[in-house]
Amino acid sequence: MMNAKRLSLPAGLLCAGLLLAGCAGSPPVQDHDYLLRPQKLMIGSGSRSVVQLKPVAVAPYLDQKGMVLQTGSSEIRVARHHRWAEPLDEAVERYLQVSIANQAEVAVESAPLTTVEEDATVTVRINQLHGTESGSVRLVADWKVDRVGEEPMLHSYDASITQSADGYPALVAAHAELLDGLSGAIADSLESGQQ
Amino acid sequence: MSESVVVETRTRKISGIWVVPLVAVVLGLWLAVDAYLKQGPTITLYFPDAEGLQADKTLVKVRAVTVGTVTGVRLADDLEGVVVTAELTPEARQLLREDSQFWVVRAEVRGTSVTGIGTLLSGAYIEISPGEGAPTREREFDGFDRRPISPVGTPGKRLKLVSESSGSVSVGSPVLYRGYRVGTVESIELQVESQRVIYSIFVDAPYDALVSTNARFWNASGVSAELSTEGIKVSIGSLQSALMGGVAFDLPRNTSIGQAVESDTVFRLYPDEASIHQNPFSNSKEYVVSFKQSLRGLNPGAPVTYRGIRIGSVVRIMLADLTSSASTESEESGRAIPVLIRLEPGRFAIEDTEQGVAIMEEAVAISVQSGLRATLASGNLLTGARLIELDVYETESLEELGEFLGYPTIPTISGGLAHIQVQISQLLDKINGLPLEGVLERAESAITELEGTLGALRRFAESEGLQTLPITVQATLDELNEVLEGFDNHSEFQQELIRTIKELKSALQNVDSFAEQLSDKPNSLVFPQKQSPDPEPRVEP
Repeated sequence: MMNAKRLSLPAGLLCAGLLLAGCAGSPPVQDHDYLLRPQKLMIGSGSRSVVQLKPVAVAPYLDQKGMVLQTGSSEIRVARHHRWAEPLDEAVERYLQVSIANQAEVAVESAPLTTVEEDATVTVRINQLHGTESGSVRLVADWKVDRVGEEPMLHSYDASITQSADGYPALVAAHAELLDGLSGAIADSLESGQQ
Repeated sequence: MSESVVVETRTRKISGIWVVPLVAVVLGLWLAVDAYLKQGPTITLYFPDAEGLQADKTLVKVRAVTVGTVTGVRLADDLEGVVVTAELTPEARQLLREDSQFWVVRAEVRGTSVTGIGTLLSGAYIEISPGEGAPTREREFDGFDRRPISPVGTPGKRLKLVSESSGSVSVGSPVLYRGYRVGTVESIELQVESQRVIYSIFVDAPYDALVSTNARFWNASGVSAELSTEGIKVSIGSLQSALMGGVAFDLPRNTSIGQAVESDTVFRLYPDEASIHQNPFSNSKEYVVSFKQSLRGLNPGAPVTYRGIRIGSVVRIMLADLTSSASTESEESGRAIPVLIRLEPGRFAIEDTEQGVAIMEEAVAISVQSGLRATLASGNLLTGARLIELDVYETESLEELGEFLGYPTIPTISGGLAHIQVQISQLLDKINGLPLEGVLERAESAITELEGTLGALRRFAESEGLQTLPITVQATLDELNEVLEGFDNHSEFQQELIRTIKELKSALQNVDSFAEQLSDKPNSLVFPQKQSPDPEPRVEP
């Protein structure tokens, strides 16, 4: 009993010291989580043709939570405090689903919410999607359109824009704008294929 | 001194009165010569009878021109005919030639034609066919009581036909070529020595060119019906040939025209058209085949075939020759009946010559050694006619050509129904030789074992476990199906699984990052490190 009492005092002092040391450090940086959501909601399918959007594949460097900034010619930085609120591939898939439906006269479905046999399937792969310290944002993607009884058609998209303001929220907005452009291109490929 | 001689010459003077008788004689001679020169020849004709002939009335004509008159008609000395004397005009002297013919023209019905109608009013007359021979001083001729079929000088060929019987062919019957009349039967004669009938026919030009060495003549009289192994065939000739009979000729099938023939060539007269096709070849070789089975339906003329191709015909069944020949075989099963057959090389696609016959003989001899045998086969099931079939049988024992009454013999085997009987008998013998008792015992044992096995199988099939097995399998399959449906691409399970994997991956990434941080700064766990702020994207002005 005597020994326990002798040891408890130094341990308590050590813990207190540690706590004090921790509290004495710099204040913690605030984390930010961002959502990718289109501004317009999806229009009902009606009697339009149905397109199934396959799960979107993103480049491995994008398959993490932090937003990516290109800091050099071949160097990137993953933000630790500005993160996507959800996996980027799922966010892009949802975004494209709504955006394509809004820009093309088709109903876009994705697993598991499929209702009828699709007329075509679209498979999208995001190769690059990141900003730069200078405010430039680039999207490189390609996609494949499969129609029943036809040869599959391959397309690609490469666009860069400058974000409208400083900071990550503007970077997210630039991401959304680039994805709108990609959706428009996919919508054009679907409509040209129907003709 | 000269001496003169006086010769006294006495001369008589002929009286001029003699001129008168001399002139008379000269005139007489001149008249006699003139009368002789103006007088035509007097001929003597011998006819069988003098029907319609009258002295000083009956005329002698050539092509309807009167060239003489009958001056006398009397009986012959032997009373076998009549002697007719006719006086011809001097111009008719050139008509008397070596081959001149004389005949009486009367009204006559011959076959389907009527001639000499005009003589019913004018009376009969004697017609002269001058002929083409040299002029003759002969003044006695044999006459015909009717017009010759082919008078001398008619262009064409005169031929002889030989037949075993006369049939319905008569003098004046037509000679037909494919139904068209090209000649006439002139005469029919029965030769006592050979007991054959000789027909003399005349084929008019230019149709005589159709008669060649390969031509065959047949009796085309009336209606003929042929019953053979090929069925019943009825042939009807022309109306004239039906009424009067007739002779036709043609080439046998698949025969070339041959060489031209001279007059008086002798041909055989076949009884009907079918016979010329059955015997279209001139050269043949006769063989003997002997059978120990019924020959019912095998008639002379029946085909002899080799694998279905006709190569000859049956000549006759030599039953009479069998009784006269010495028996060299066992009498146990009766003697085989010999049948004489004729094989023709022309049917083998060999030349229809004697050389062809020799080639055929050699081929037959070699084939017999190789198994050539004769069988009796059925030719027509309806009529029951039979034929002789030659073929090579590999299983036969080696034999050679034999001899029977000078004819080579071809070995025979039982054919047709008898052959089947032999085969059935051999089959039954083999069946009898089978070890049926042992086989049956083993079969019975096998059946018993099989029954036991089937009983065990039945019990197994009726067992409760096997009965419920399908239900259990079905339930398992249903469960498996449900599980597999859960693994569908669109299933919630798979989505949740993917999400979990992603979170796990993210957690591993965090752990990896934390491990790196600890590796760099081990005290970072206790002393929080100063974190550099994230680079800020800025829009360049």
